[in-house]
Amino acid sequence: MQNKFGFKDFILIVLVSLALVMTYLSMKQDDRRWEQNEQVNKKVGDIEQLVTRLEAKLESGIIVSNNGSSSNSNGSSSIQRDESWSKQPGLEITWFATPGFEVDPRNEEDYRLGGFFKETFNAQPNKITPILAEDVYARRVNDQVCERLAEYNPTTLELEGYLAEAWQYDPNGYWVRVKLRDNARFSDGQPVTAEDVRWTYHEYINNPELETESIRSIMTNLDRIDVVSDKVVDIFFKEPDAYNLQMAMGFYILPKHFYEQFTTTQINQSTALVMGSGPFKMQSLDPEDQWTPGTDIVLVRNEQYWGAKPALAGLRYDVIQEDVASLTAFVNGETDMIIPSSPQYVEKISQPGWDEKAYSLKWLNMRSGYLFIGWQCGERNGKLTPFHDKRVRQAMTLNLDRELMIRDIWAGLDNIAVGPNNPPSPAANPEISPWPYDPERAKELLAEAGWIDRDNDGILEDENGVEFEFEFTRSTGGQTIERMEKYIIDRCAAIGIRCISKPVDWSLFDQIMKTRNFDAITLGWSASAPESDPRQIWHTDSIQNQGHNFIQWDGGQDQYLDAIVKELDFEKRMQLFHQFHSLVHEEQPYTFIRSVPWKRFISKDFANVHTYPKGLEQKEYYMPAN
Amino acid sequence: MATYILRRLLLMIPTLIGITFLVFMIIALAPGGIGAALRQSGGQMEANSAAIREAYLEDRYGLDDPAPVQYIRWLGRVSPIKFGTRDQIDPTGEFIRSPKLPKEPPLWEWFIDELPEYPEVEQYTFAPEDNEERKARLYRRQGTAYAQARAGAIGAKANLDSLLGFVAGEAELRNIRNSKGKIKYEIIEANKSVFENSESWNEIQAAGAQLIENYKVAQQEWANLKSIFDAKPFPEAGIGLVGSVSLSSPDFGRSFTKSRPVVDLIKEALPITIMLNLIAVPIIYFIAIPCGMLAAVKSGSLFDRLSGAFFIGLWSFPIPLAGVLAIGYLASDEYIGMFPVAGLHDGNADTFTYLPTNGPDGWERGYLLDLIWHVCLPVLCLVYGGFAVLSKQTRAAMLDNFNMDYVRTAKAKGVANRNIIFAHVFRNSLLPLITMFVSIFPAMLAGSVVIEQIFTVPGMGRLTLESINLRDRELLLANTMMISAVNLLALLLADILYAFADPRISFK
Repeated sequence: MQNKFGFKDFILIVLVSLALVMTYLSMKQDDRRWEQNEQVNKKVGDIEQLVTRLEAKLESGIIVSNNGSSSNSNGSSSIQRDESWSKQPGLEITWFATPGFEVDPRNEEDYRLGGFFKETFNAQPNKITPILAEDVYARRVNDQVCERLAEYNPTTLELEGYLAEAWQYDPNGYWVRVKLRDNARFSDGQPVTAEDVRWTYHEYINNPELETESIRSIMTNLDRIDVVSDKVVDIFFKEPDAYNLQMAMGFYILPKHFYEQFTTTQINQSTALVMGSGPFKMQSLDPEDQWTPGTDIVLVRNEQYWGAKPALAGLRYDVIQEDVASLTAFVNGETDMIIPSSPQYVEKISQPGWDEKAYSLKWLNMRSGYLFIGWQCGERNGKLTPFHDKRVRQAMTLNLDRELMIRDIWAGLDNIAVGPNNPPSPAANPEISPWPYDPERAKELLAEAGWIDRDNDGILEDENGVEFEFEFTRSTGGQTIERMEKYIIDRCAAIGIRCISKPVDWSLFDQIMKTRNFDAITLGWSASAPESDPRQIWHTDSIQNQGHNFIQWDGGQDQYLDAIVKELDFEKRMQLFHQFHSLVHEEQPYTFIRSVPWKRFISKDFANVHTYPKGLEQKEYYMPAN
Repeated sequence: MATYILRRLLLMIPTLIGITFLVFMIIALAPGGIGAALRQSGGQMEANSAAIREAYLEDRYGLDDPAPVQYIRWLGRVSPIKFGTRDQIDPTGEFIRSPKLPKEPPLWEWFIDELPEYPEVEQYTFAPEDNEERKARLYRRQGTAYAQARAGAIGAKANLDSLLGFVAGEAELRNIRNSKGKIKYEIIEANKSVFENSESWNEIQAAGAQLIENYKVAQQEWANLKSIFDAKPFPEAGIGLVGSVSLSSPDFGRSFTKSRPVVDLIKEALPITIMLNLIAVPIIYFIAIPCGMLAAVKSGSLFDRLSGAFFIGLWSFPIPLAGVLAIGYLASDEYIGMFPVAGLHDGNADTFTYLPTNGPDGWERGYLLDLIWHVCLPVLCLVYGGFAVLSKQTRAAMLDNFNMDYVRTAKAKGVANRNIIFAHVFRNSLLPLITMFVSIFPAMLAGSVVIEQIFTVPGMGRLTLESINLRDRELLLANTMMISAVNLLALLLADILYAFADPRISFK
């Protein structure tokens, strides 16, 4: 008897496995239905809670305050305020109105609630747990969910109270007493208390078991935070410093009751334990079901938000790394906001009909950085480079036609950078215009500095006959940087300087900068605040010690820098900044190439889209009715 | 046979160690070294106190140890056989290790005559009413205290380092740093007079005294923590064998650039890569093998030549270009627009039902179909280059067999042509194809870097590439380990299959 596997058996096996697969699939189907039901239930629960709170409020007869006025009334209003919490009676208290919208959409005719706004990132954030995650993408998400004591006003860039209703700042700069808003609450309805503020700093940021090193190392000047009463905290500083206030107000306030339920390891290894008091909240706060990289980040409107509620039902973030793919996705309507590359931007804005489809935005804001070439002003391996002479550095700048570079290399989209701060920052000196393109003047300056072609071989020499030669250190990768380098080599050759290309992998950059082992290096700086402490990059103290003054520039800047960080008065500090800017301009330790504006395409499905010196305000957007 | 397999399996252990060591050392010796991504301050103007941040991070991840030490420590953690104090395991599944000793302060002779001794580790006993939760809380509280003290010592050391660097710079003392920018204390020691005569000597003294002070505190806290640890607040991990040898599950540790457990990262990426390949590989086989057979049967015909030329043409078309073209034309609404651009799911896929439904709102494709629709383009790119090799292999193997004696005999017996091709020739030609599949299998797990990058698919290829780019020790080693282990197993499997398929081969 042969036991043959026949056609019948085959059919049988196929049918049985098909049945198994179908059972599995329908189980999956049911699971999903159940999960979706759960979500809906949760949302209903939230709304019920809100309704009960509103009812209670109405019964007790409290007049609902006018939230949403965007005016920024500092102090001097006619309303009598309770100032009994002040630390030093008589000292001025700065009060802030409830934060609202910059441009209020609620009076528009086609204003309507609902709709999801989808933004596409071009790199993958690894985690979005606040304060632990450091990259820009995580911060964009966190900014919608978590709030700080104070935020920069989108238009004026002044620091104004957010969770803080008022503060009293020691004129000597040793402490600030902060009063929290009475109505501020986290997305689960719990009020934001003084204990949350203290806890966030002392037991979250300053917990050495949590991976919060980056923020912790910035906040070294904060001494301690004390709880004064339920809604009042004292923040003490070790030394008075112009940047203390922005540092003390600039961290997210996290709900103690939520984060306390996890061990430090659970927080360290989390991807998305995000909870705060902001206008949006994470769709899922279940620690067992956190967002994982590779899936969309979904935020939904915080129905219990204490401030001006956004119109959008939620925000959604995905990642597309390929330029072509992200533009295609945008054109297809699969995403509502992308960051186009410069050529894409230029190509699309000239395309007929594009304007009906998209807002094409390009603007400089407080986060825009700049690109520069840093010249080695000190010694490299014990030898001075030609760039220790200010005239040589000036000549290098004069010799580069930066307008042409921007036009040819960056599609003509940017402006020439003028100094250590970009124009939207009040720290930039408005009177300074960039150095012109003037190769003749450059040659004269080089001759003055002793660089003359003494043996008529086309290369300049100094009096000892040493030829002018330098290495141009740049990161590998990218056609843009290669084109920039070619142009620079070309321009140098034109005035008799030999420029040698030195491409290095980015992972080496840090080492090269620390050991000061370069002649000229090209890099970019970016910012995250309207003005930032300039000492790390510019102060001569940052020359030794591997600080960020890696070009080892010592041109008398310390007098300004030391004064800047001690000056608590804004106007006076800006004046000092302007003087410092003039010095940098004259000394040219960097050749400033271009400021890097933000470029965005945003779908016209959304209205009330505006650009601000602070960036974008997604909570103002709405999806018009049609 | 069994002894042969056992021998091969045992041989794999040193091979794996060799491979991972080699890969690790190459990365560690490359410029930047392990953890280069962590040191990068990211071009932010606000990079304050970078030195302290770096010191904290290096301590946390043990990056300040020499590369071979880092490797051996890793090996100790992944090894199922452990030596020394047994780890404990807390209810969340986290391994609790015996606390690390604080680092001995450098140049302590400058500030103090004798390095303080470690305080005695006292025997700690939990109170009888302490339950699991209280024990854990007690341990954690002391853990935080020790972490604080340790951070204090590290901060003080960073402070001293920066002071030393400053004075050395002022005094034009060179070469005090190694190529990674770390202070070489032996050079400082040799030039003590320079520091003693500098204006900042008092400051150095003060910083040193602070460091010693913080070190003492850290020692005390360490001893306290160790005593609680020794009282075993958590159950011990694994099974104890003889003395200090124990068996325990391997711990692949945590990626320090993503600060998540490596196992979790692989668990997320691997299914995606496997899924893509499980779709792609059968497609390749189902198209390439029949085409190869047909080409062999009709060798020299128009079909043979055309299909050969076509497959070779596809094979030589670069994948990055194909990917971009596929997105630009097939996915763009301005052209064909039939496929989604990127990712594995539609934006609101989480509101879909799992299966396609045809409800009152009309047809909805459901979660499963949505996924299949999304992987169309990546699979297309994975597939098209694979036809050539396989179909040529099939064709060559079949042609070899056609000329065999047994085929002639079968023909002479009058066996039908169909039977000759399928039952005789094809069967015998399958052998090289099976072994080829074995070699494809490891490649399936490794993922395709290019395709994953273009289509934003979060698979293994991307993970491996990132781990190399970011010099992420744990992730890199775990990936290397996994890929090489699968490779070795696949080779073993191939050898075993050979023995089964070909009676001439035996492993006696």
